[in-house]
Formats: sequence, C-alpha cells, structure tokens
Amino acid sequence: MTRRFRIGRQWASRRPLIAGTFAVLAFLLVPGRALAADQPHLAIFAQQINYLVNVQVRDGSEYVGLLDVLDPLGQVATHINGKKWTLDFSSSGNRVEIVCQEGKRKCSVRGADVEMAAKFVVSEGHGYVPVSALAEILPRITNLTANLNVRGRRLLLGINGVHLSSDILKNPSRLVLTFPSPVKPSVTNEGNTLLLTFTREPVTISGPETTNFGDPLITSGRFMVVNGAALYLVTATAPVVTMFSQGNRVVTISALPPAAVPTPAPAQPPAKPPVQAQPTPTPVQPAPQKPTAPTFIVAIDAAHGGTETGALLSPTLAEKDVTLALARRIARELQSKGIGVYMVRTGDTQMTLDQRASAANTAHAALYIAIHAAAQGHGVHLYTAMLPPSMAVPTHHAFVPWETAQSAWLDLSATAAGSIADECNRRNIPVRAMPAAVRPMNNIEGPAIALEVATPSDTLEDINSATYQQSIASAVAAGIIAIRPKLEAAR
Amino acid sequence: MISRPMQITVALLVAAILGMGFYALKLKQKVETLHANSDNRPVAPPMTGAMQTVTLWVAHDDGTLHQQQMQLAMPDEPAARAMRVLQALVQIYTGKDSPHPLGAGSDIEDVYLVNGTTAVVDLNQTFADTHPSGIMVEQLTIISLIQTLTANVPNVTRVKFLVGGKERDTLAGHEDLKMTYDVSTVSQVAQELQ
Repeated sequence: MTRRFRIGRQWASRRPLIAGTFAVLAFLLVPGRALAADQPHLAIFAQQINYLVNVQVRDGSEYVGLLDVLDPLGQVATHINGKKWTLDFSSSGNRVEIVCQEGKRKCSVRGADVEMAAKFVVSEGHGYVPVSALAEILPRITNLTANLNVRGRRLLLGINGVHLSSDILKNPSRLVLTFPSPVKPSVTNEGNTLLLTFTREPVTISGPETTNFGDPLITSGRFMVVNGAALYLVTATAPVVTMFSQGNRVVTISALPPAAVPTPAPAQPPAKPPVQAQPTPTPVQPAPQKPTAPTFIVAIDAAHGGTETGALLSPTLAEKDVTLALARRIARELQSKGIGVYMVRTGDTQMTLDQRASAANTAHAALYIAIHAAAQGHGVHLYTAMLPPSMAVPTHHAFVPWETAQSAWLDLSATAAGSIADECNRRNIPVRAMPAAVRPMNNIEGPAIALEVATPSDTLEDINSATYQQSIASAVAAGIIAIRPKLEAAR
Repeated sequence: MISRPMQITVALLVAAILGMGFYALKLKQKVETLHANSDNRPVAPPMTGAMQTVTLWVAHDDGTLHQQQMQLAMPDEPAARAMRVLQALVQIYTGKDSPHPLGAGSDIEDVYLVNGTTAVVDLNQTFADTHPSGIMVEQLTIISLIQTLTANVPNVTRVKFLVGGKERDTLAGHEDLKMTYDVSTVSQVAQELQ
C-alpha cells in the first residue's frame, strides 16, 4: 500500500513535466516541423564548428562513432588488429592515441583507462562508444571541457553556450527572452502555445527548466534539449506572436495584435503612435522563420550515404565513405582559411536529392559543391549543370522553377569550376571540367558544381590517400578564395 | 561388438554417400557455370529494310566519344530506326572487348516518338540495375545514346529516358533521368568529349 501511495505522489509531482513533454512531442510530430522525429543524432557545438553525429541504438544503449565525433576536430586515422581498435587523433601538433577492445567496457586514452556504461562495439571497421562516455573521453583527447546532455543528445565542447534569461513584463503582458549573442530560432505556433527551436545556437539556461510566470496571458515557459536542439515552449491563454529586436538578441513574446486575430473583433480606436524612440521590434508571423542570408558560406554535400552507398569502388571501399572523408577535409581547409562551411551530410545518413538541394538553398550558400568519387578515370572531374542555354536567363524573382533553379547561375558556376580547375593544374592534379546532368545541381539556387574524384594512380585504393585528398582540398579552397569577390558580389 | 561384415557394409555406405555428395556438388557447379556463360539477352525481332551506313557515337571509358560507321538493315519508320541504332549501340557495349562495358542483358525496351521531335527511350531494368556507377561513366552512356539517336533520326530535339516503362531519379546514382534532355545542349558536350 505504501509503495502504491509513493508512486502516486511521484506521478502527481511529475504531471507538469509529462504534460510539457507531450506538448513538445505533439509539436514535433506535426508534419513539416523543424525537428521532425527523424534519425537520432548528437549535436556537437565546438569553438570553430557545429556538427551532427548519427546516434545508433545497440542493446538499449545509444552509441556514436568515435571517428564521426573526432574527424571534424582534427586529423584522424584508425587501425584494427583483431579485436583491438586504435584511433590516432592529432590536432595543433598534439597527437593522442585511443585504444579500445571490442566487447570491453573501457578504452585507453593517453594511456589511462576510461570506464564506459556499455561495451565498445566495432561495426564495418568503425568503433562505437556509448554517448555517455564522451563526457570522459573527449576532455582527455582535446583538453577541452565537455558539457554533455546525454538525454538531450547535445555536447558543448570547450564553450559555455548561449545563456537564455527570461523576464515577464506587465501592461501589456509580454515575455522577454534575452541572449548574449544573436539567435535565429524557428518559431512554431499551435493554438495558445509557441515553440522556439534553436538548432544553430547552443542555448542554455540556469535555474529551473520550467517557470510559472503567474501572468494572465503567458502562464509558463519550459526549456528542454531534444535530439540536439534547444527548445523553449511558451504556454499562454491566447494566441501569441514573437518579435525580434536588438540584432536578434532579444525575443519578445506578446499577445497577437487585434488586427491579426482571424476571428471578427469589435472596432478598436486607432492606436496611438509610440512615444519612446526605442528600436522598433520586427514582428514575426507565427510560421517557421526563414534564415537570413549569412555572409559567406560554402555548402559541401558528400554524395550518397546510409544504405545508398553509391559506387562500390572496391570490395571494401564505398563511394559514400570516400565522399564524406574528402568533404570533411575540404571543410577543414576552408575553415582554416576563415570561410564558413555548411556540411549537408555530416555522418552516414541517407538523404534524398531534393532534401540536399533544399538544405543547400536554405543555407544561402555562396557556392554548393557536391562531392562524388568514381572507380573510372584519374584525377578530378568538375561538373556544372547541363541546362539548355535558352533557359539560362538570370532571374532574381522570389520564386524560381525547381527543375531549372540553377539556370541563372550557370556562368558563375562555370567560373567557380574554372578557378578550382586552375588550382588543380597548379598542383599537377589531372583535371577536366564540363557540364553534366547530375542531380541535384539543377535545383540549386546559387553557384553549384560537382566534384568527382578518381584515383591519382593505377591503384584504386590511392583515392583515399591523405596526401592526395589534402592536395584536392587545398586546390578547392584556393580556387574559391580566388573568386570570392565574384561570389560575394552575386549574393 | 560389431561384426566385420557389418563394418564393411557401413564403410561402403559412407563411401557411397561421400561419393554421391561430391558428384552432386560437381553437378551444381556445372549448372552454375552454364548459367553464368549463357547469353540471357532478349532476342531482337528480325529487322527488315535496306542496308544503310549509320553513325554510332560509341563511348570509351577513357572519357571520350568516337563516331563509328556501321552497315545496318534500317526500317523506314523513325521510331523503329531509332530502336535499331540504339540496340546496335548497346550490343557493342555488352559485347566482347567493349570499350564501355555494360551488364549482360542490358537492352532498349522501346523507343517512342512524340510529335516527331521528342523521343522517349525506355531502357530495360537490367540496363540501369547493372550499369557502372559514376558521373562520367553514366554521362558517357546517356550522351552516346542521344547522339546516336539524333544522328539517325534528325528531327528529334528532346530526349526523355524511362527504365522499365517508369521514371527513375538517376541511371546508377548520378546521371539525371528525371530531366528531358535538350539535344543541342547534349551535342555541345558531346563535341567536348570527342
């Protein structure tokens, strides 16, 4: 009896938590929501780079590939000897060796053992550790602090996050959320609730996750981290809208203006003009917020992924792995030159061609590069879209046809391909440039090229040579830098 | 204690079982070899028409296209002519010493002409399923098919590809099969590949 009573009290005390969780789940399950219940992933926010790593569930535990986690942070090489799996990681001149044994619950990092909650797993040559183990392993490898939210699948590496503070103001009722740096959440309204989803910023909060404001309009605010994204759920007694001000550092949530309420309302006297000369907040419609154009970002799309392996270059070498490795190398090279990178695919995930194009277009990339690999030929092939010249009329309308979105950008795409080809020639990499009908280039609304890498020699395995790939990455970065003014002018 | 005649009988039976097993294995291997070597390409119906010299654009895996003359019995009807030359091209690709090898059984299912200017080429499922994967290798196939078709059926300005009668995203992971190809654009690329 006593036990039943205690359980009943626990449920009662957790009722708001359960209700909040169901509310968030309801948001996520509506089609088209920003964070649809897609494949689980771990979001990693570091000083220079943010990226997603696929999470796999094995025997009830969530695992991540160590290679996927460490590759964006430095140079990585792995070796397998029987059940012994070794990873060499080097960054900024420091080299660290991680040794793990398949089936064991510990790994050795810098010679010291790290205990893990579940066994180390090796699958298709990749080593997987439980997500929870990263809190111990990563600081020893990188010498950076690791703030890991296992349940929310988010890791802050060497950074403190963007702190959210909330304040309720009266007359009229409004909730003011303040951030130390600009934020660009997507905003979703559903009835009297509003959800802010932060996927680009590592938003954190101090104090309780749920705040009851005791306000007649805005009753509560709840913060949580779900599948790598920070969510802030606002519950109100009437529809509310979001306004951004002070360079997207302040988000104000207030009642929907009477004119915007869809139901008929009695006539209101004309509103008085504002007296204070404060910066006017920009009203935002209750719909997912379109990201503003960033300064200069290159979108890199490692072709294929997941069960869609692409070409089988050799019995043990799939195109999807070569493209991801080269894409990461190009991304590092660009970042080292101060160029922002958007990785369309960060792990072994399957994406449709339309999803890739959509992601690149949403990122407003100055240049889109699709990376491919082939068993035939030598060196590098660069491709631009093969669209009829009659359709290549520059247009800057709000809407462009999906099938020919690339038409307006053919000249600039060819310029980009030519510049990279020149840099390849300087490095004695055999190169050839021509148009090709490769999806999804036609659907990219901006300069777009496809880069197909083949082996530099007669040995197919040389396509994975670090020296060769680094040389290509260097040529790509130099080629982009050479035409950066033209790419920037076109934005 | 087992008697000696019984021991001999058991030994003979074991030897017979092993022998039969070995024989069955050899038979299985022989059947598999026969299947592997058999030509499962569909048999094309006999073509009637006067012998003519036709031009085929033949792809080579070094990334080039070469024009090749051939004597073929060519029908008069444009769609049948298109079908004939494309099948001849595919036979080169699936034949011995092919410069651009395609999977055995690859073939053209049908060719339709819409308003005399748009050709719809229906590749068979094996053609796409066994095609080597890669931008260049897939592009060579498609351009050589289009160039060969338009060299022998001159009024065609647009070409659309189907696989097994249905639309398909790509040929083998790269070449776009959703789009309708503009013959003049393809021709410009073909000149670069010569």
